[in-house]
Amino acid sequence: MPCIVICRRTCSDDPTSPISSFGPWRGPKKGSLTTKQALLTLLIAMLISSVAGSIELLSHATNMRQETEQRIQQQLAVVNGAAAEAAFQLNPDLAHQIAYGLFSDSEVAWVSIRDDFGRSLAEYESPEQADSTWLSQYLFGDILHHQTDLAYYMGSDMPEAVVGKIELMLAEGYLTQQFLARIYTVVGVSILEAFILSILVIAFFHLFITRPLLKVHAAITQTDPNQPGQWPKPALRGHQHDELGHLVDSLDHLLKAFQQGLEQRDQLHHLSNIDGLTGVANRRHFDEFYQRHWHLGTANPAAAIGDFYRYR
Amino acid sequence: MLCLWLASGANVEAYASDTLATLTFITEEYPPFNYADYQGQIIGSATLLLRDALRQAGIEAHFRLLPWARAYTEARLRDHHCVYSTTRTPEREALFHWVGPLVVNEWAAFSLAERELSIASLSGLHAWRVGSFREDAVGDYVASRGISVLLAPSERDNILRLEAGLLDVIVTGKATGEFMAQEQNIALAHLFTFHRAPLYLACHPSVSEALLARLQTQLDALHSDMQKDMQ
Repeated sequence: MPCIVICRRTCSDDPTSPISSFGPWRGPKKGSLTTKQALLTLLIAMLISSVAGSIELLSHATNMRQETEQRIQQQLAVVNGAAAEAAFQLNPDLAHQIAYGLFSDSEVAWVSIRDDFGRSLAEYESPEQADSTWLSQYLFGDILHHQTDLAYYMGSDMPEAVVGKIELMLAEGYLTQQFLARIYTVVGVSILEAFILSILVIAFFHLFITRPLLKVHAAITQTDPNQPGQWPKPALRGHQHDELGHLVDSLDHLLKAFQQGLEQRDQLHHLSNIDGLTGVANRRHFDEFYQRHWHLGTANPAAAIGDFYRYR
Repeated sequence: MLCLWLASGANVEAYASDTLATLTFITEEYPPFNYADYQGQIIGSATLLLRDALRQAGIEAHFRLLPWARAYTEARLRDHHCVYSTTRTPEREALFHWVGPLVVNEWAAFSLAERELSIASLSGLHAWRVGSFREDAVGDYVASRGISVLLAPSERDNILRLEAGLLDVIVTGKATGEFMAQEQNIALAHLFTFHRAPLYLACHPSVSEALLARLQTQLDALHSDMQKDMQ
């Protein structure tokens, strides 16, 4: 890479060399427009994706908490009647069935149905207790424990009586695992999206802007300063009517004007040194010629004088 | 603040013990000894006997009818609660204060008459599906003899299960089985009777023994009156 940079500097130092570092395109160079643009696009894409990812993360955590809480409350509401019946009848078989039903959800780590004397009718606890981490505590610590009184309606002449209690703990390890699995997917997809988007933007920018610009640049460097009008005007397909097309047209116009100016100057110069009548070089030409040669050959003024006779 | 809390706590307790001092007699659906009639009134021979004895002794009690397991557990674990008609078994002896006997229960096995089963003793039940209900002394006794017993919430459910063909045999009080068969219009065959057990009022230990002694006296008096009447 540094060699190319050096080469470019030496090349452009020599105005006569038509060779340009931008001749055939050899991939993005350090500090080139495409590289800068690519880096910037990637940076912006990563920034946006990380901000969007964080927002997604927060909203997902909130959603998951709400959903979990809602689902558990719902499940407890569904089994409440049956569990109350089990507690009222002091029927451990029914209580076991209900507790087992709740426990079959992997989210549930512990479930217990007790009668109103505080005795356990049914209890299930998962053997492997996942370690509580700061993350699981932070995310789900406050929604792990659920309990509902079991109210039993005994008859129209009796008030509803609390005949027991159903209580459960959620598996915070399992919930956190679910959350992380979801987050890995979300973050992965969003990074991939950002990456693909930036690649597309970079390619598009290179094709439609950088490459035509480089063509213009190459054409300018190839231009002979003595004959600017003869510059290899680049044909930018698809850009005739946009700013790039206008740039090339303006350049063309400018260089043509230069060419015209140069031609006029030469014409005048010629006219001012030739005697219109005889076609022989005139006195102004002699003065200039003498002055030039006096400086060149100071050692021998006679040489100049010698030459002088050629002008007579 | 603490004093205030303590004071209010003490008040609640005093109030609670005052209200609970009213005895609650809990029973179950076990006709003809105790059951609810169509108006929901709790009746039956054991109930009438208890009501008479209570009136004579000048004691007030509130009657409730619950499924047996719930009725039995309430009396076992809740202050100032009693349950009847309870079989007095050695396992239960120390858990309650006892008043009675109220009536005598014959433990019997029944099947549907149409099945024409002939089983003469408990040992013949092993091959059959036998039904009882939770916390029932009869069922517990049969189960303790190594017979697997299917448990229902109440005796009425067992009659229906028997009729539906879910059970082959039920073990229950002889009078109860006959009463329910008649009530449900089901022809039951009495297979055999395997025990005679007097039934009692079983009270939580918190119930005052003096009060129960008064009740026992009145009960004994009623029994001797009945015997005189029969003579």
